Amino acid sequence: MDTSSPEPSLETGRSSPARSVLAFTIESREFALPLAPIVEITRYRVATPVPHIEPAIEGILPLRGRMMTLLDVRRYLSRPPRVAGSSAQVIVVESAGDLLGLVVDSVSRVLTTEAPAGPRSAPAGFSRPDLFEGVLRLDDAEILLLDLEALLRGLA
Amino acid sequence: MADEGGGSGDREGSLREFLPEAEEILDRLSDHLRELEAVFAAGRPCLEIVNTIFRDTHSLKGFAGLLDFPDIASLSHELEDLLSRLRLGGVLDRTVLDLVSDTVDALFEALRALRSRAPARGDLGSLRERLRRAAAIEPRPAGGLEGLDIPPAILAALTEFEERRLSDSHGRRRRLTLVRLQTDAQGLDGVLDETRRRMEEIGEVIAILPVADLPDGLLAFDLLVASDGSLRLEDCPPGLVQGVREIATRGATPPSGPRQPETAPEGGLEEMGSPSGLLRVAVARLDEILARAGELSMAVVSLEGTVRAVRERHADDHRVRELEPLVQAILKRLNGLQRGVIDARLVPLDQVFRRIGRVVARVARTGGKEADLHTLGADTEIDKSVMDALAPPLLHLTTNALDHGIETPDERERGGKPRRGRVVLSAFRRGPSVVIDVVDDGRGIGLEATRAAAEARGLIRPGQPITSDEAEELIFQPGFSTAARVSEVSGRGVGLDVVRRSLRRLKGSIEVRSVEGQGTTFTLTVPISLALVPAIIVRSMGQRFAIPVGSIKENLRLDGSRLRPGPGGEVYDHPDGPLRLFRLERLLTARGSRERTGQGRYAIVAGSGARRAGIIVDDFIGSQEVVVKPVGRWLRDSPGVAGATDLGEAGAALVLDPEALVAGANDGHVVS
Repeated sequence: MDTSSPEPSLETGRSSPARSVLAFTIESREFALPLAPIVEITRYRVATPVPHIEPAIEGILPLRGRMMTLLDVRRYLSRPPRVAGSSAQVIVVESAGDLLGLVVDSVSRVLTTEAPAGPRSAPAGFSRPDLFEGVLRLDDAEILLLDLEALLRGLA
Repeated sequence: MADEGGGSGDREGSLREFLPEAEEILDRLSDHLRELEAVFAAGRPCLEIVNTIFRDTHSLKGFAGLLDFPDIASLSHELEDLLSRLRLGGVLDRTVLDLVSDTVDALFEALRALRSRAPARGDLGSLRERLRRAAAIEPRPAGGLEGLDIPPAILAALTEFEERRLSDSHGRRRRLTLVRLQTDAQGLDGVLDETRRRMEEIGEVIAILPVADLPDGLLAFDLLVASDGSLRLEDCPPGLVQGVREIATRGATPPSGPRQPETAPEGGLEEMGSPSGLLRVAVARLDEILARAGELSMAVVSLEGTVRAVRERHADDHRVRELEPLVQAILKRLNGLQRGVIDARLVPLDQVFRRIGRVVARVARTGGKEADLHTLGADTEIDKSVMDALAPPLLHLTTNALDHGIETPDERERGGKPRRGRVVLSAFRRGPSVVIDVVDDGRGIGLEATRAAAEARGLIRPGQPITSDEAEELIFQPGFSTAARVSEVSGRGVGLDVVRRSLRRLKGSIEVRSVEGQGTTFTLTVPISLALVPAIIVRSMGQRFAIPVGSIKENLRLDGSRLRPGPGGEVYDHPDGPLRLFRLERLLTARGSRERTGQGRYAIVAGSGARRAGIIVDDFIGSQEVVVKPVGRWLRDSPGVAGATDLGEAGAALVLDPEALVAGANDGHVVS
């Protein structure tokens, strides 16, 4: 956990209570998800394909006696697929009793921040601006905060 | 929770203790009540069964009093009063019977209210008033026993009730006889039952009194029997009865017969019942044990894999070679443990059959129908949770049969049928499934009525003719109902579509066969246990799928020469008639991208009637019991997906619902 990282500044915004986010990378860009619904982080395993109209849904995997649905975040954000054989990690979130595994390149750090309410603009090269809640600006980096609720809604 | 110290915690504790026990007593009581109704309707003597009901009521009262449920205690007390008047010679008639029945209903309602923590419905005040008025009717006074040459020891052992029965019989100048039975402990129940049955054909068994001071291992009883004619040794079952002695009344000659029987204290017979050896366990506890055993098996399975890998690397180490059989032995025992826990969850279907019997009696009474319910195979065992989930659909089907199937007595007579209708619930085990038939001899599914109802609801085009197969399918459509009249019990709005959905949730199926004018049979097939569902594992699109055995009609090895192209798939020349075949990938994939043809050597046949169809797969891998897990909401509504299972090393596999799959093909979800 990287608690010594500098206080992030908000691009815009109303002030909200501090909250924690988990940062991860895709194509060496940093993204983040709220920490609360995350139940664990696992290594990537190949899932059993399932019929679904959303192509980013890779399939299902057993996880501790339950079934997890796996979502390829790269594909969902319309990014090119990972290089075959490159490592990946899975961020497991629990939502209304269901487990969803988000496939990312790697998990980088946990941050505590005053919640940003930045513009819902997709960064260059990404479709689906509705999936972003805003941008966290740190001294050394820029982190795109994903809106998990919007993401889940988009899947349903 | 009970230890939280607060009064409400204690209350929760006693509620948890009280409810299951009270429900059990009340279930028993209402069974006996049904028996009483039958005995009463047949005009046979009711005392025996009134006594039994009295005892049930008494236990309920005692139990409710003990755990402080005053409403139930006082209601059962008033019922007990009424019953005790009956025992002492009060008149049993339809009014009294209805009153008893209403009180039992009110007690059920009170328990339901306790369970759901909601106030009880219904007017207890007026029921209580009716009970009090009925109980206040004085029974006939008991006549004297003078002039009876009855051994004082026996007289002393009689209860007040038995004494009244004795004097009543004496007053009616019936013959009184003592019948002596002797047997060993093993034969006790059989001998006693057989003798009592025979005696009750001839007269009334007033009392059964154990005889004391016999050699070890031998038991003897005296039955005090009242009959209109003389009772002789020849009337008794041969070989069971040791002696018969008529009790002289005034002026009669002293009887000859066996030695004077001596009696044990009253109640001796009841104490002979051995302890039941039963223990009440919360289902959740068994589930937990089952889950632990399952986790353990998974762990051992991965251990097995590691052991295999180590063995390959150290093939000549004898200690490594010993590991594999050890792991196998552990797995085998673990499977035994899982089986054992699953078996511990099994309960006889009897419980739900009896509950249904009770409702049938009520529906028939209020609906002006005359019908008998017969049950077969009530001892068939099924998982507790399956039974609980099965009860509402079964109840629905049975009340449907009464409400819509069975005609009124007059109608039946006009149709040349017996006035009383018949509803049969029969259950039997077929492999890993239980098959339950709900059969009625009513009017059957009317083709024209079904067609008209379907047309009115827009399920078919106006004027479109339908076949009987289609009619049998249409009745399962949402919103379909031909009931002109809505009954109190079967209600409105809950149709067969809901029944079918419940069955699907249970990984089971429902089918109907009907002959117009002759009756309808619904056949329900459910797995015995949901913890482990027996399934066939197949391969298609290079991955594995599990298909519950219970929903498979037939597994076919396809003979290429019998295949020909058909609409949306292929048609197979099956001995039972042409069978439509669909590839699993076509049925399952929402996008055609994975469409890829494998060998397609096998087919799983599912559905019935016009919807019968085969699903082509590439290979059969084997059969295995699987634990069905829910899939996330993103897949829950995918047609044909019932859940998923963990196949261990082979990873997750979808559990399919073949009926829904072929139904989808029929409904045109699949376009060729």
